[in-house]
Amino acid sequence: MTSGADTRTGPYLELFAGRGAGGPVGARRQQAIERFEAAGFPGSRDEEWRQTNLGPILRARPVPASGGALGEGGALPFLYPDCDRMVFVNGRYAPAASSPPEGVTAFSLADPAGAGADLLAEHLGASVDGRASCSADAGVHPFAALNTALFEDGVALGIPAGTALERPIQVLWLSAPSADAAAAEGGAPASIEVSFPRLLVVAGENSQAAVIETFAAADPAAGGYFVCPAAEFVCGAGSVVRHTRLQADAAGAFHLGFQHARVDRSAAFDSSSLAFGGALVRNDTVALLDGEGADCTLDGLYVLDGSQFTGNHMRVEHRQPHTTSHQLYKGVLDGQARSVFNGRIYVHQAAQKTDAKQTNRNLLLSKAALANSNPQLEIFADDVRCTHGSTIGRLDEEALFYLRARGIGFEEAHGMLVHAFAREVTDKATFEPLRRDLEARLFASLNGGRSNGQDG
Amino acid sequence: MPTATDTIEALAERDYEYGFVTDVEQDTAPPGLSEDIIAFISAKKNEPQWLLDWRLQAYRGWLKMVEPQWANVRYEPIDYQSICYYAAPKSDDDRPKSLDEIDPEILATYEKLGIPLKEQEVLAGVAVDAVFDSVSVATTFREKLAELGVIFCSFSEAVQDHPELVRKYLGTVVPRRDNFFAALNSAVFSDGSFVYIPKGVRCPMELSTYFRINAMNTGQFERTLSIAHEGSNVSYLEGCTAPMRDENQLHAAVVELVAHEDAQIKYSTVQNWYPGDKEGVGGIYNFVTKRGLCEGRRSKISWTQVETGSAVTWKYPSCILRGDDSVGEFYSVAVSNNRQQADTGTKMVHVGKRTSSTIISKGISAGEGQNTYRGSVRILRSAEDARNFSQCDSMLIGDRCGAHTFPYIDVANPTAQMEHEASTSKIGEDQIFYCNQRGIDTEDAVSMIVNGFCKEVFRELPMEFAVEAQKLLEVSLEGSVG
Repeated sequence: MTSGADTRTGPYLELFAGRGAGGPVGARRQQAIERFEAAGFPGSRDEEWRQTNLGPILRARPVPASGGALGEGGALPFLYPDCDRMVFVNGRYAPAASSPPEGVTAFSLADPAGAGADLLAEHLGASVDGRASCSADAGVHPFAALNTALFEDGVALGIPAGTALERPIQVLWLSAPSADAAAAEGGAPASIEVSFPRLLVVAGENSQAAVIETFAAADPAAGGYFVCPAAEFVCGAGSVVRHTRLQADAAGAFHLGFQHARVDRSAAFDSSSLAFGGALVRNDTVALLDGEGADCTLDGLYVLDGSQFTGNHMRVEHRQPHTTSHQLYKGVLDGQARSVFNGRIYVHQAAQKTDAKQTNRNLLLSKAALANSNPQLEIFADDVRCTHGSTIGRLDEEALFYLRARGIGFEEAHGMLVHAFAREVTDKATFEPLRRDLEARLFASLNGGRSNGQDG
Repeated sequence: MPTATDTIEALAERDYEYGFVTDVEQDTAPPGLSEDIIAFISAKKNEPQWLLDWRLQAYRGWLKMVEPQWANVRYEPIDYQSICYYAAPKSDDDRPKSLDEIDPEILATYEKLGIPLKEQEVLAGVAVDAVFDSVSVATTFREKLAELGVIFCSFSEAVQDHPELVRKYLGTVVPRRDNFFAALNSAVFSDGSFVYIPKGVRCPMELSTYFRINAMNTGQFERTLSIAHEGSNVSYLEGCTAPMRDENQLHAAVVELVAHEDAQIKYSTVQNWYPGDKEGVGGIYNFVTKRGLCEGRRSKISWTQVETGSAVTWKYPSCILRGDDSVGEFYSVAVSNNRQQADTGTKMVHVGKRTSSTIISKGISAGEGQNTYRGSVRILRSAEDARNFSQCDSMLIGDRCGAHTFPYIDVANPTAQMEHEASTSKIGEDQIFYCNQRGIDTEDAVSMIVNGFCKEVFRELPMEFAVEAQKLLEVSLEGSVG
């Protein structure tokens, strides 16, 4: 390893040194930091990372996100009605703003006790740090390892077998960087406030749950903070887990997220990722279909403008027969925005009768926008149906003409078509307040304005 | 103004002027690769100084490169110092005297492909003087081509007879340090073909027929350069459906195509080198760099390939669409049976306005074969209204093989339209049953279905080869079902 890499990993190792490794997951934290130290940050030669420029993050010195200074009701604009919620500010639990669900083991990871400790000891990090990377070689995912080593707080949800939660659980990850960092100007700030949100969902047999994660900034104009979340889903046999990941960080934020799902026999994992904010955003997903009849749906939408970058990397592994997976990722790119879609379906030899579909569609609205799409298939079983499709283009001239011929102005017609393109993903949200919020955000970002997403 | 780098380069280039041991009488170079060997090869071929310099530059670049590891293939590491980089064509005394000395298995394959007896002898490398009338046929062709001003000769001849053309175009499409294997080829290339079609000439024949008889023994480091001048048109077929007798395990060829304004080049390949035995032992490694440059407006380059041989194939025929309205096409059928591995695909780089490209790739895996499609479509900012359509289908026969698809799509112009589709399937039991029911046995049914699967590509081949390619597919997949 070069000395350059040392100066980059060094500050993160120091963060760990200051934190210690106790508690039920102490050993795992220790292991994770060792793995991270051994692997270092990925370079431009790393296939999974070569299209992501980590420079702005790695040049800055990380400092733990401080404060938790949030005025009363500061979280309100982001909260949905009719759901249980847990609110975190700068990666720390804010009990005052939270109303944890009943009937499930839900607690803050910072101080777990009793039954929760067992849950943690059994599951936390068990899957993430093993085969974590989206790459073929399944190396260590450096940021997932960092999260395991450094998270301060987070949510663990244990849904008992046979329980169907009626209300969705909203987990709000709010960033409120201190004024110094936000004030820094001219490229990457010298120091950057970093938080490591952590989510663990363990769905028992035949249980049902819906989890909505919202990443947002208390002040949309804030900049210079770095969120490095990790989420794990353990979907027991026959369970149904719906997950929505709304990323609405401040325009200058860095966000490198990782999520991992293990889906057991006849279970279904459905995850939607919607990315609106952030300057440099990655969302890496690994889903393992580990039991017969397991099903997973991964959908995504990214609406980018300015010089935003969003990368979606995912790996779906079909390990058992009769498993199905569907991916639909759509992107709308304006300004000088850049997107990367890197999806890989991996069908093991045992996974006969696999049915997998992967679709990535990109709409380029400006000359300077750039979309990269790498849909990949790796298939080792013969009796399978795997397809993937990818398109990149602009709006259909004929559709535009059709609308204009009916007296609809150019701007409006344009807006309608883009909206229609993106709504295929947002319309999948079944929870009404969420769907309305997504629509509002979509509308706001397509019209260049900012919306704080408040919804009645 | 000389810079420090220039000075260093000048020094580095100077030392080969002295102290080379060059024994021109020798027929075979000792194993290993060094500047001496390269000088030996160059001297052997009586090459001008600039070409030797060019080779040495490539060699020096190669020394600094590392063998690429990204391809989805596994093979034993190659010891580049144990390879013999030059061997004179075999003299008649060393060759088998008649077809009786040839491996009966190879003969059986010739039989299945329906290759005429005389041609079998040529292919098997039998020493025959004046095989039927190949010499006269070749001469007739040559005269006819010369009338039109078409230059079609071996690369070595071109270096002697048309050095200005070779010098002008060599390395313009595939630079000598383009990649590890291209650099190796640039340093030690043995021979190959050279094609030059002058302005406005439509080449009157498929250059294939001629080639098949003539271009034997070009060695393992083939170098092909084709230039189609304004408004010209040429179709070229390399390779052969018949399995080739070949002792060299490593093949690293480079093919460069240049199409000027309104020119069209159609380049078809049928590759059926020895794939190794059922355990994959002894097969040929085929690491090829093929690239075409659509230099002029409205030019067109079309690659068609049928890849059934070689133990390891690593090949990406590409098009750089620089001229406005230029067109690139890639049609491929790749079969990997037993332990064969193929990592193949294409690269389409759209630079000019209204450029369009089509990619049709059909991968068939059987036995324990691994078949990878790896393609890249890049639409640069300058490529207004560019269009791409890609379709990559894989078929799996048997449950121990693998099919992989790795397309890379980078679009930097919103007016571009690009579509990529891929699917993976197997031959349906119901399809087989349907055929069986109508009295078609399973083997024939499979062959029928596979041929249907590959139809879009075979359609692009020159007619007589399309017929042979179909048979070839049957032979390649023999015994993989049932």
